Amino acid sequence: MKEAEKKLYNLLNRILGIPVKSINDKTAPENVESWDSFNGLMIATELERVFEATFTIDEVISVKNVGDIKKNLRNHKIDI
Amino acid sequence: METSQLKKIIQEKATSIAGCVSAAAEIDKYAESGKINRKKVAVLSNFTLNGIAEALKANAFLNNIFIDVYSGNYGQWQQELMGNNLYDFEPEIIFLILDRCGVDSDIYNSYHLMPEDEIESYFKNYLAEIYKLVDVAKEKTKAKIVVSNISDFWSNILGIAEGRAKNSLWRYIKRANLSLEQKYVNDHQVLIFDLDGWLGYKGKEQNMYGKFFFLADMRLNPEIMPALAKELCAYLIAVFGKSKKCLVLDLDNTLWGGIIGEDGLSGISLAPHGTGQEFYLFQKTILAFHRRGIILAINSKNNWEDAMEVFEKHPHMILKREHFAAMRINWQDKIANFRELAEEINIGLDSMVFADDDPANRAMVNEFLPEVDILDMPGDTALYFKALLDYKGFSILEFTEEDKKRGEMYFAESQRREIKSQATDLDSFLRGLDLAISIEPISELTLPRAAQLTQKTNQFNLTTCRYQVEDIKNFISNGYKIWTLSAKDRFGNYGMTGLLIARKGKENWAIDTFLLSCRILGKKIEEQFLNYALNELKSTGVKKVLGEYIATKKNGQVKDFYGRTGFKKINSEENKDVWQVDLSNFEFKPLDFIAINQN
Repeated sequence: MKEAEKKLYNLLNRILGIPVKSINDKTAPENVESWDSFNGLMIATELERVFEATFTIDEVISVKNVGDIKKNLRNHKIDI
Repeated sequence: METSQLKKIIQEKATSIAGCVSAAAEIDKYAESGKINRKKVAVLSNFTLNGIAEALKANAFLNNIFIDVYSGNYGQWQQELMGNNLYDFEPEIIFLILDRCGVDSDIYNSYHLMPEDEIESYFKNYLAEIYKLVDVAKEKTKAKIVVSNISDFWSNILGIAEGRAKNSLWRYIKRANLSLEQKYVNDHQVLIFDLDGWLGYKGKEQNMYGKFFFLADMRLNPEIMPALAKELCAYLIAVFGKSKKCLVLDLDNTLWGGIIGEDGLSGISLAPHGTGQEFYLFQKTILAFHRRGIILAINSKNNWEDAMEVFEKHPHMILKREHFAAMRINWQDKIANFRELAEEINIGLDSMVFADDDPANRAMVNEFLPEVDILDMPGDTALYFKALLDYKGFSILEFTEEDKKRGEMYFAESQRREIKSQATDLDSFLRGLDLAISIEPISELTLPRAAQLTQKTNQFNLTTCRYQVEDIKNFISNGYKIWTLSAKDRFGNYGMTGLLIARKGKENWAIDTFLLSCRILGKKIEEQFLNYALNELKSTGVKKVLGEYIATKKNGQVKDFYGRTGFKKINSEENKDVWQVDLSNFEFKPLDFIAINQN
């Protein structure tokens, strides 16, 4: 697993309480009960803090699953 | 889990909003398992403040306060204040954080087109609504109500033209904020939080109206929640009595740059300009806090002589020996020093905060003395003064005369302790103090303090009768004889610290109240005061005087006081002893080392 992916999955584990092993690109609010709007907000702020990136409103809205988060991170030059 | 372990975990998490959420869950678990009593805090807002409850919990925990938070429903702050749910929660403090003149408001976007009287009445109505809702709240709760003022976003439509504009938004907001402040300046229940000022300090540009304003109506960016919580926690610290009383300081690289034992007097950095200026300013800030009532102490690994050389000879030391209530400058470990300092100054470890440049020392004290707060000393010495100014642990609601004098009083006490330790016996120690007391009949001026003494004095209090000013006034009109005692010695003034109330009975007089403040005990003033009063009564023809002792949990030390001063016990019930003295044999023999009524 790449360093950045580990960082991301640990972040999701911390906020959503789901095991790292269960996370993949399709992980989304639909299939994770704890991924409500409040935790979505927590994920967004933590991503900015941990990856030292600032996302636009469009990037935040566009996130439907973990795969989309990775897309956004790649757009910010993060190797994931 | 141990408190110090949890404290470390929470300290790490509390820096980010997501961390606060996780921290709050840990704190809740800990509080539940320990059945810890939680204080009740309510937060109301007209916008989304999600995360504030958790951030408040985390910050409160780091200040040894456990809280339960009631978060008002979104957009319902007025309904919450007028409804019942908020008050059913029984909050002890209510925060009202509002942003209603923000970038999306009508006032913000059309003030420049509004005639003056329209803007005028907009703000008049804005304030009137707040006042009305606060009145409703005051009727339903005794909770402290903290209301935020109006934040001006700075980049207003008229820009620099606001200066000449009659309808300047900036000016109207400033005026409204002034009115808001004035309205509650003497109110003990309502406090105004300068949200506008604080946001200016943190930066409105980066912290307001970010993308989450559009996504979730978060007018303050979520990343700022921990900082806002830290700010609001200042109110919790003050209201729940968790203010720290004493700042304990290291010396080397804390009060001056370098190590005195190695660099010598000319090698350390401390100066008003150039190298060492940051330490000079840090000392200035510390002194300012000392003059605000914070007790100072030193805990340093050094040779006493080396450290004293700096205090006595360095031209730029702002802090002097007289500013410190106690010092432990030795090669003993700092933990033991802390215990000794706490004992000497006679305050709890939980009233102390430690400032030391060495992170290892800070970690050690944090680990072994979790009650002691640790000042977050930055690695950069240029930031020392800021760390102290930003520290919320000293927060109090009001700066009183007693606060102002506290510093000197503690130093005076430390000087008394010093000569006591050098004196060979109690009498020679007392002789060395140059004690002077003044005993006077009660007056209009001294009435309030006399009443206060009956309410606050617990230990040297024979009958513990609590009186208001009205009660004492009644006594005076009923012919009671009441004396107050003030004391001073060569180190300082103790102030008015004693009271004796005597009432005339059918045959004899009785001492209704006899009390003295802790701080003047053990100096033989007790006996002198009593004997002076008995002498006065004797001179007006009184034959016998009764004295009562009513037992409480705290006044055990005076159970036999009358016995030691020549009275005889004539009656004894469950919690009450009655004593009597026959004044025909009484002769007043003033002690030669206590001056009475001599100016």
